[in-house]
Amino acid sequence: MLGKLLKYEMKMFGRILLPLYGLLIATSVITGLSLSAVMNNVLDEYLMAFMPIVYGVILVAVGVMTIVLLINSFYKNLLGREGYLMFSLPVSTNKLISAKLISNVIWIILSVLAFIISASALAFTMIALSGEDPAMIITPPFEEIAHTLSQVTPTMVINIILGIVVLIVIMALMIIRIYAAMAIGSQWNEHRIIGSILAYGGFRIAEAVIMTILGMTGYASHYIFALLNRPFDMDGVANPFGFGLLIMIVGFGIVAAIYWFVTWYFLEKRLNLE
Amino acid sequence: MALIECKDVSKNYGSTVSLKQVNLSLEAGRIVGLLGPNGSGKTTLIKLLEHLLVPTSGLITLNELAPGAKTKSFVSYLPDRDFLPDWMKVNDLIKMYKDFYDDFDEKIAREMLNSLHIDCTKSIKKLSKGNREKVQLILTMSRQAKIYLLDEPIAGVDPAARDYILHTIVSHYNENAVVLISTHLINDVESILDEVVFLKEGEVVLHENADALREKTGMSVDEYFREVFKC
Repeated sequence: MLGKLLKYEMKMFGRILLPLYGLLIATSVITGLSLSAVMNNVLDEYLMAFMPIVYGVILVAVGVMTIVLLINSFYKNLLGREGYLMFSLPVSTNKLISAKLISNVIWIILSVLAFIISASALAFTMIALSGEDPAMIITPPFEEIAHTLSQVTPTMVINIILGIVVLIVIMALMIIRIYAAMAIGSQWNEHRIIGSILAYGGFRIAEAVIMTILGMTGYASHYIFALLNRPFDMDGVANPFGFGLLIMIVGFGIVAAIYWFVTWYFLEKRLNLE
Repeated sequence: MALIECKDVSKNYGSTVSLKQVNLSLEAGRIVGLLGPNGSGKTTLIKLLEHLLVPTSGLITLNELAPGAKTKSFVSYLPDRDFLPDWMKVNDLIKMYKDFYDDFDEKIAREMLNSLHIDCTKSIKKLSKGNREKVQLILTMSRQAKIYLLDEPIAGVDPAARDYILHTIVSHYNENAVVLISTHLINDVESILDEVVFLKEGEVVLHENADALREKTGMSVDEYFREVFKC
């Protein structure tokens, strides 16, 4: 069932974001072409400003649309009238939340990738048209990268993997916090949006207060220092850096789990569809 | 064995009491009218059965199960409003229903859509209001469900469409199922009802066989309803 839900979630985003990604990459190539043409005095200078602006606007559009779709996938599709369809499906509330969270994380990653690909496409287009030997420009950075990669140890690989997991957990936390705020905000019939914003603000304040208390009592730092005092294995997960990342994963994971429970509770026990 | 069983079900919204100690037992093979004026608790009761709400107190069982993800696999629910994503095409929705509901019969759905000349390649937002409502009804009634919950299925449609909808309900529900139709348009629906339940200010004030009620009172259900709910 989760797979089926994910399929529809991906479609909901894909129909808007995939064409935008295509437009972004096409614009980046055209921008590269026009910048090269201007630099080679083939075209007037005013184009120098025009295409990059268009590229910038589409870049912002991709970012904004990703966030708008993220919010709408919950607000409109679960809390709005489409919620009558979604909550009538023979799936648990947890599966509905999971599908949205997983899909949103995937699309955020894809949007970042689209940006990277478009920036690369722009750079490669300019390099190709610069009249210089492309190999002379591209080879040195790649040689640097290859050299760095050859020096990577298994410990570094573990740390990189842990670092990626931390990023994903933080992304999931940011998203589920928004969901929880909207789930609470939906209780206030006439003022759902204001309610969601107030709930979100409340969460951030609560988090700041708790972090301050933990910091002031020194409990967290004492505990972590005690942990860090254990003999470390400089290789493997128990290396100091990797261990710190692991603590972050657990810590952020717990906070995300709390927001998940809040979201689940208000959807399962206090559903208030339009 | 009752397919739908409510024992002392109450639902409050803060200090507002929407349903009060509802006791109801509905068996298979019936089309039941849930009748009452606006605000009497009909939609609340239906939402409780569909697990879109949870009762404040009392117990609900559907085919001896508590309402939840499992019961949604054999309960087919038609809300009293537009609920389909308007960017999806009718074909997409047929695929979606087929994906999620094992009891969905695509052949029946397409037959009904074709007979109404509804273009399945169109998106929901491009359909007229009447056609949108028909698509919603067709998707709901194309499931071979055990329980059908239809909340005001004819309220927003023209008289000709009403006849079509009622005919669809009667000819497409399976006889091992119970159909619960909530409405305040009793005159239109009366002819297809086997049983009637009157809901007044959140309480069940009557639950009878429709024919027996007509014989007892010498009135149509609509006329008797107007008596009971006289302002």
